[in-house]
Amino acid sequence: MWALAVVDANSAPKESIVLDDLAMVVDPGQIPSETTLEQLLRHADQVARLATHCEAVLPVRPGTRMTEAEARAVLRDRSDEFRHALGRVRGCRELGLRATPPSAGPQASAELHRHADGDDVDGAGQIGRAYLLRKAAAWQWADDVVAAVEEFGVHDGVREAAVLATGPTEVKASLLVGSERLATVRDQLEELAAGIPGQVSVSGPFPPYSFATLDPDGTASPSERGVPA
Amino acid sequence: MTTELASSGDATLVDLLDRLLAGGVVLVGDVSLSLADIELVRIKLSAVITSVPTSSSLGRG
Repeated sequence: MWALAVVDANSAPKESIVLDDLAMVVDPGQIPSETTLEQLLRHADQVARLATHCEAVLPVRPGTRMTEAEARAVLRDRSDEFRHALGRVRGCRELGLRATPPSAGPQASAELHRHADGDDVDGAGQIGRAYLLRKAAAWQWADDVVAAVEEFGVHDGVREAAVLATGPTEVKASLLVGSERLATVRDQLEELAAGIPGQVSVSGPFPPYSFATLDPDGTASPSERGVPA
Repeated sequence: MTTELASSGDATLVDLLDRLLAGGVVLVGDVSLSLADIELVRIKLSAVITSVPTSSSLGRG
């Protein structure tokens, strides 16, 4: 069977594997070795439906196959970690932001070459300088987007902010948001996106995939929080 | 500043797939996910279960 999520036992569907106050929600069907996109989306749909009636949902990485005995063992052995992780995401959903930089079109290239023309350099030097200037501008753009997301992370209703990936070609971030402020925070995030140069999209709400982590000490590491110090 | 908001439907699917493939808790055993002959996720967890005195002696060895 395919593990879907860990939830509180009192909100678990009846086919779940329950141990004390925790429950592993599973898809008991036969999972073929070759996964289709439809099956992956079915997994997402099952977890999303759980999130609509469970206050805390800890999604399991898709593709996790386990027996009932294994599910019971992991619920028993890691119960403290599950309780802490469920507490972290309780009452929250995830919003996403994805940004790619403005493309350096012919106008930008011409601008860079005009700057290069002022220097006493040969053609190769101009091209190299223009390339490095574009590179530096792209990294600066990424730094600015990350700074904007971090600043947004202190908004009322935002529990945590995590930068999932950052680089000169793309920045991806997630926000863990209390359900009661979800609509307001999403509107504010759309406003933030509108002010970021480039192609920017806001997505979600999702179940809290990016904040579903287990830690034996019960505390998330800085890298799991995702926001650099 | 020029901003183009991507088509929300496509963006949501891409963002959902991103989270499905990289998010969620990793529990036990092997996780493998292939799609159209492309292995997307492969996680193999292994653990050595032994007593503390044994692990200490292994550490000194």
